[in-house]
Amino acid sequence: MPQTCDIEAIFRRHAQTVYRVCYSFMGNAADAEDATQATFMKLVDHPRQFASEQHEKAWLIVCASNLCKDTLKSASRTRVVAMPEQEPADTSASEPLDATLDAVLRLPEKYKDVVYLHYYEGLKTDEIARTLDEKPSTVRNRLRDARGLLRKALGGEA
Amino acid sequence: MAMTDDQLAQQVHDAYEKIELSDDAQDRMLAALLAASDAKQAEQNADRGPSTRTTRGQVIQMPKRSGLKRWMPIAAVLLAALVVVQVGVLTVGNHSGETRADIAPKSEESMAADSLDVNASDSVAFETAAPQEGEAKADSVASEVADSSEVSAMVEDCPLITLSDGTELVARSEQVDVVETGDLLEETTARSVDGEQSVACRVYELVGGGYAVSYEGEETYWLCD
Repeated sequence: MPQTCDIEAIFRRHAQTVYRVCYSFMGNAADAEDATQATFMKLVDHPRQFASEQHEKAWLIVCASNLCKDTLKSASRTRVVAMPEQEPADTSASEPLDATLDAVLRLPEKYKDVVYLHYYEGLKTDEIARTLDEKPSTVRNRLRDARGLLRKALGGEA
Repeated sequence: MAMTDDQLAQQVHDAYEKIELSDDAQDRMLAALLAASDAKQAEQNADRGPSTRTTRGQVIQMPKRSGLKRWMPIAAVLLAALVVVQVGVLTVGNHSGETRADIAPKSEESMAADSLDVNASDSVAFETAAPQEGEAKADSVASEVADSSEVSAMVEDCPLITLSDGTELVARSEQVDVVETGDLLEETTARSVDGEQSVACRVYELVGGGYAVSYEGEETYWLCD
């Protein structure tokens, strides 16, 4: 159980997880790396102790998710960067993606964290709700809608 | 054929698996994070700890002494410069006094002369100009006023002099040339009208009759009635 903020150990434990979350939001490697580093940098700037590795992981996922949302919101306001939801294919030109990943990246922002937590981390609706501080019904609805969009994108029935 | 939930879940899971942070990127990020962490740690260490403050105090104290020593020659130079400027001002003041005395006769002789410009702060400026009677008179008056104002305080403060034979004299704000004074008549005391102030003085008998007084510490002779 980690009790101190050993940034190297935490980074080695969760770098891939945080990067996946960031990539699912940002849609390209460069921005995802920046967001990943910024997420861990928050921990450097404001060290904290976690009750468990699971708590540590949940905090990092939520932190990365919020940071990416803020970055995308800021980018859309300043119109410096195109919205990844609109043009994720541009970034994939040099990074070939499969159809499923492409479909995941094209999901609207509000579905991305619940989809990641459910399909990759394997969390149940109630756990996702607690992690994201949302109502379970909200999480259920989002998962249902996201599933429909993915089925549609992947050629199955919506 | 419709995709089952399990198939979809597996497909999405596999898709996420493909997202992977490269080792190079990991090393780069970790190095940056560790550097930032070390910098923050160093900053925190610098901000706290009484021993650090004591060391700072000692370090600050030493340069203070050497700094004072370093400034001493500069202070001496500045002091010397101040003295030189003071002497210069006095010299110019004496020179201007002579010029004031000389200017009226020069004007009367209709010669080109240095005219004086006495301003309110009693500073003096020289300029060459054709002599003009009005200016010369004005300057002459100004010089008299300036001269009398320099010492009139003494005459005005302590104008009353009583000689040993009981003769009462009153000093006037009118200077007497030293060549007109005869022998020293008496060393006595001049006093103010209300009798509260007094100053030592010397009374001279004038060659042409009458008296002149010279106050202690001065070389000016004032006419007495």
